[in-house]
Amino acid sequence: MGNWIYEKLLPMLEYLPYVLLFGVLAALLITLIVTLVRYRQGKPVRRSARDTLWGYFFIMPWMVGICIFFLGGVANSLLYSFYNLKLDSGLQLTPLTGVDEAGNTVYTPLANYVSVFNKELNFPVTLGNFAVSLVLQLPIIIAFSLIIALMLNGKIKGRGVFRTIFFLPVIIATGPVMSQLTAQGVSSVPMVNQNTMAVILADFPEFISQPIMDLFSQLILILWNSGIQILIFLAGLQKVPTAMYEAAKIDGASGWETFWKITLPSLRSMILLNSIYTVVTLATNSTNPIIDLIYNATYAVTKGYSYGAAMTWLYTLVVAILLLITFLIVREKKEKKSKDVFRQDMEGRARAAQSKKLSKMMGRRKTA
Amino acid sequence: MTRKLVSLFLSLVLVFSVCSFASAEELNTTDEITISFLTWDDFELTQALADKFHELHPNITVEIIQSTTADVTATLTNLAADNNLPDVFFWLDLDPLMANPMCLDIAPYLEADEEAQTLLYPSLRRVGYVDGKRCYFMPGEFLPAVIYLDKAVFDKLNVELPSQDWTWEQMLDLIENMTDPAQGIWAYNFFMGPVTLGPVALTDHVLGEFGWDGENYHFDTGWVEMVEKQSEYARLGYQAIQGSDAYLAVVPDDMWPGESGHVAMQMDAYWTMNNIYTQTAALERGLQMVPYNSPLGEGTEEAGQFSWIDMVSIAANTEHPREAYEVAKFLTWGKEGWLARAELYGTLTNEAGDKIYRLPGSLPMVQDDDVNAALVPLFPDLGYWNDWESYLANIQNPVTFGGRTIPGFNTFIADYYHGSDYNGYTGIEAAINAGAIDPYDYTDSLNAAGRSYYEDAMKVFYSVYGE
Repeated sequence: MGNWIYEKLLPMLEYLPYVLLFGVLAALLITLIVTLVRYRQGKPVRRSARDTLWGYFFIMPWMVGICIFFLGGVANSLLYSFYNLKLDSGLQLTPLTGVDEAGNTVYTPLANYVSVFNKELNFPVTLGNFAVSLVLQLPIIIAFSLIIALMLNGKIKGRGVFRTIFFLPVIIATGPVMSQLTAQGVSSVPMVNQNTMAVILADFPEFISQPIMDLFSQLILILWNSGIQILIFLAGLQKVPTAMYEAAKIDGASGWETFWKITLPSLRSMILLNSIYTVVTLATNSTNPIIDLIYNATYAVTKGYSYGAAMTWLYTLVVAILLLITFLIVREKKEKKSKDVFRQDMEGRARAAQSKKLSKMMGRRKTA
Repeated sequence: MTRKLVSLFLSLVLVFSVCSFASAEELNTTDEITISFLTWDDFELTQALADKFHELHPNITVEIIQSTTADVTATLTNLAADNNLPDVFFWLDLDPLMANPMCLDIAPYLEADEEAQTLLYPSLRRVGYVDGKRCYFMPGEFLPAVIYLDKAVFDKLNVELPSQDWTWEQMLDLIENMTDPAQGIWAYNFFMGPVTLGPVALTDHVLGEFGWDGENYHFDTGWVEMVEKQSEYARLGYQAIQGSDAYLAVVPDDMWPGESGHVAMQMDAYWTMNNIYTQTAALERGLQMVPYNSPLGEGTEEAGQFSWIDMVSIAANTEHPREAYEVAKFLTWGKEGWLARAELYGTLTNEAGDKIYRLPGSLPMVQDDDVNAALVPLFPDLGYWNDWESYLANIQNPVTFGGRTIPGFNTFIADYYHGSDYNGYTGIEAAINAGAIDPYDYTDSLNAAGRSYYEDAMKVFYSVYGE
């Protein structure tokens, strides 16, 4: 079995990025040809198909780039996790072997993964801490960025300046700048005394108290990391038709009601997008202790590159599960959508108002 | 008989001629060669040193590959994976080099080099001998830990500054007696504290952190006392703790204690003298920081001073090992290179014509009067103090981070020292600070665990580099 894995299965991984790249290009080409043929034949081309095609066209450079430059590395790291990798006049991959009960040498491709569970006692603890801190940080970031986006979407003086200010940390607060700022203690709120927090949380178990402490010590940092989310929410807010708000206003809905019945449901897909983006950002952030743990293991003499790759893949699996959970919680549920009577009603009225306006205008033109 | 004698004579002639040819070939190649040198040190200085080397050896060109401390480990990994390691390279972590056969054994060159055997500090001479026989690295840059005593604060408290050859015990005595809450003065603040500096200063023939002697750690009374004292000093209010209520009451803007003028002693690094204490802002604030070397314990014969030392290795697959060694030596610790470096520290200017170095960027790794004499005039006269000669004369046995000198150290520290559970606390220092354990109870287990991590690392080392 191990022999087959090393001889047949794993070498195929090297071709994965090319297969994916080919697949993406082929799919795009087929869609393009089908659309063009239908267009030439005078058959109607669905608008959604055209939009999809344009969408793919615009993200094409990114997709080609990711297939060539990123997926190659990803596939290689998966490959390395099943070997023992040494740097001896270039890359040297040695299959992993062990001894079975009968004393025979056997291939053990999963040995690095098994070692992670046996050796890395801090890994599950750190993963648990990460999951807890994610549960604490995610709602704060989403709520904060939504509030800021709502404020920046309003008609206020210097709106552009404020938008720039909130987005600026995304550009400037990276890498060394962030390390310097964190080292100088700007990541925590000065009014929240860390010692007092420690006393308050002293009676809680460490797996609860530690993430809460971390949350307060990095509060500013977390809020600083909300620039992209604010931008996404702003884009979402600008897509909500103003006619819906007008219709709600005519029906006497308050601002509070409008927010819960129109704004929030309209932003559901944006909330999902932002949640996924935030989970990925937090999971890959350089301040995340798991990244440190994996880095240290990768360069540790008794662990090494292959072991680090195995840890990375286990972590990826955990993050994928967390993403799936986030998706299941935040996604737009179809059955719920149909029950959202108020919003549908407003949408219907808005549409009716708009078509009325349109036909009025058309009528005026005809008369003219 | 005559034929035998003639053949013996001819054989001897042949042997000697081969030997003399080999050594001439090794030492004085006349081929045009290029030695690549990876560093994160100041580019202008390194390039100027490389040019000086080229002037002395016109057939050898040194090609500088610039990196940064943040990127160097990944850069080296990539270059090694591409079978393209530079001939000479600086590095930060020892472990990846032990797990992959990247370094050349330089023991034959180092042992045949009289300068290395007589001028290098003893701790630096021995530091690269991973298994006691083979040497895989040597010191590349030396920046000592410096304890800054604020003369202005000492004068305010009417306490005399100690002499430059002070002892560890004198330093502790000062920490315990210099706090004066009425005047808003704390005895000390640290970047690297007594737990890091103490076990090195209190252990003879030390080569690494926690009293490492090349085979074992010394988690003994020295470590116990320091870890307890460091915790106690914070608790008793001898240490200025930024952000604490007591500190904010005296320094409302929560300025870094070492720059506040409210701290008698700042345990810090050499570069702080250039970056902060000789800057106008600090001088205008009235700071009068006098640099002291980390003191040694009373009664020790060859204890060490904690320092930042970057190491340099020669690639295992270099085509010119002898020349690579000479380049590495000239550009790092060699006396000739240091005399050239001293001149450059005094003359290098930027585009605006201003001097780049207000004081030497790093310190020599050789004990040599000529080098010290060339360096002393390069230090600024601080007005309140100018005894740089005594300061340089009191540098002894620099010892650096375990991660750069001890196989398996990083894993031991991350997994066991800071990573294990100690009576409900993660990390032994956290448990001691909380008063949850008595450090005396853990000295044996720490020594045994440290040794075990070292042995595991050495198993990997032997499997990679051979027995």
